[in-house]
Amino acid sequence: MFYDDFHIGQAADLGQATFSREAILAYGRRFDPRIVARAAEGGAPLAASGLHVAAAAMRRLVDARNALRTAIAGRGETLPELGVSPGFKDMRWGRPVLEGDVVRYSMETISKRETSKPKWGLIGNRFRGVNQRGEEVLVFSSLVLVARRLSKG
Amino acid sequence: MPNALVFEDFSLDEIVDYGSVVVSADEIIAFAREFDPQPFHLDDEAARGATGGLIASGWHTAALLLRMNCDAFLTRAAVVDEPEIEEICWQLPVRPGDRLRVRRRMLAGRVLDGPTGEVEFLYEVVNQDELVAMTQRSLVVFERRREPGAA
Repeated sequence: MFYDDFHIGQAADLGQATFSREAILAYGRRFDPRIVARAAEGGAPLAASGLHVAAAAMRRLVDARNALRTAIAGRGETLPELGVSPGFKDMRWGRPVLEGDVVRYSMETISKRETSKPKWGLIGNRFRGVNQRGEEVLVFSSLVLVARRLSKG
Repeated sequence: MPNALVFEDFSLDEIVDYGSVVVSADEIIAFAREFDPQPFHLDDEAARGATGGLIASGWHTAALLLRMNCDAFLTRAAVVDEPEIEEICWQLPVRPGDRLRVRRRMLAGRVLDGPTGEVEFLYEVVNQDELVAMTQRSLVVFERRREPGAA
């Protein structure tokens, strides 16, 4: 989708991710040794790192966007160039994501503005993750550069 | 943890440097395959035009900051909660071979009930050229130091 195709209030379901004990531990081994220590103690179910829950949202976004791009290419239309993200803000976790939890992700467009570069617009999206019990486990707002639809000159 | 770091161990405006991690192309690609499979995080050739070669996913850089924070202080701190990342800014791409470290500054602290205290940190992920690749502002709630003799 081009910058021009985004509308404020537009929402999209991004699909879901299951957080297995193995996946939570694998992320912990690489990036958060506290998870490994907790696993060694035994007992309570493991909680995923908050950044793991957020990175899984990114994966769902990329997959959803790739499906869209495949459809666009299938129609023989021009594919927008992918832009990078300058960052995000206000990331909070309403509840921990525990082993076995299934998180469903969604995204809503909350802002859009043109940039100094005619090629790119800046889109603001609010991401949300909800577990299988309907509880909010993740929320954050991100910015991403999205190519504008330009008339070829 | 009897000697764990507590709220009182952090001082306003104190700047601390730590960490050293070299990011390899293999790690960049492995992370991207799992969490951020976009061409510029997966394939050096495909990334030439868009980003001048392979760059790490921002979520990977954030995860590396988490690891350096754990190794430097979080694993030996009495952490009660990490309620919010207020902001992450990806300022410069992280490329294969980059060496990253952390510069941490305490921006604010406030006593909460509990007894706990919340600290707002600013982390800068600095590369081998002394350039800031990423910044993160986030909150950590620590236990407070128990008064000797208190119940």
